[in-house]
Amino acid sequence: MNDKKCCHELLNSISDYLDGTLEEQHCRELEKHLKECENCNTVTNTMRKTLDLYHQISKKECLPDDVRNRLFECLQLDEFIELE
Amino acid sequence: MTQLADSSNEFSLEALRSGNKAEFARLVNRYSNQVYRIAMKIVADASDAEDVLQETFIKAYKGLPGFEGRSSLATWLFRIATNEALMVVRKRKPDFVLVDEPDYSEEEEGNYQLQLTDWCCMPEAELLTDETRSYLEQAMQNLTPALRVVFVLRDIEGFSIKETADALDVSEQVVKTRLLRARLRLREDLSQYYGIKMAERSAK
Repeated sequence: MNDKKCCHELLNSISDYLDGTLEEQHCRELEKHLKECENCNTVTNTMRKTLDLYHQISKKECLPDDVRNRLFECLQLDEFIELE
Repeated sequence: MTQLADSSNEFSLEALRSGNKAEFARLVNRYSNQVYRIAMKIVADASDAEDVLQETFIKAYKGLPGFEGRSSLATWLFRIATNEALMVVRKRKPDFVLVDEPDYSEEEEGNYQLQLTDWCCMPEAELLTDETRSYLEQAMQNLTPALRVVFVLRDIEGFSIKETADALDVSEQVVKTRLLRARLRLREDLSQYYGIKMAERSAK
């Protein structure tokens, strides 16, 4: 497999690779390529880091109290509002 | 990840279908945080997100008597929520087409303009400042709605590919394709952004 083709293939498989759902043989070929190709290695690492940063900033925020109160009011569920 | 699949069993479908308010209140308590978060990420406006939240549960309450349980309750609820959120986005830009967005056709033909700066080595404290956090949010908002909603469900909320596909009523292959595009686009944006930060840093 020439490098250019492999680099192009990496872009198509990178999501599956990072999710750990890439088929085994394909995964081995990619990892071999990553050891040899600095550019693809950078793309893979920066994408992994990108996802990692999004996970970090998306710590589970909760609904603000006033929004929650208005939701229960509009659903006419006021009597259950303290339920948590 | 099957966080959605089993969670619905906590509820009595019979009670929900017959309009039992206490059971419905439990459902609202269980899912309102997540529905609001998803809405916020898709519409990026607190007031619109609140409308989506309220409309989702109003529609759910009305729809429950006819809910057949073919998908899980949670999936069904998130499908209503994402549809509502996308409808808000669509109203803002009436000309936007949800499905066929040709914004990546050039890349697909192989003309990738890849940013190759390796910014992973930057200290964590510099990767996540208040400023960079708002850039990350902005980059996500710059995705087309079709890509953004997939990224939000899969990468922010942690749904599986199948759960995302069920919530959006599209095939798993469509989810995978859009997810790849969203991730590539965000990586590109962030690489450009952090590349500049790195250059500024070394110039100091």
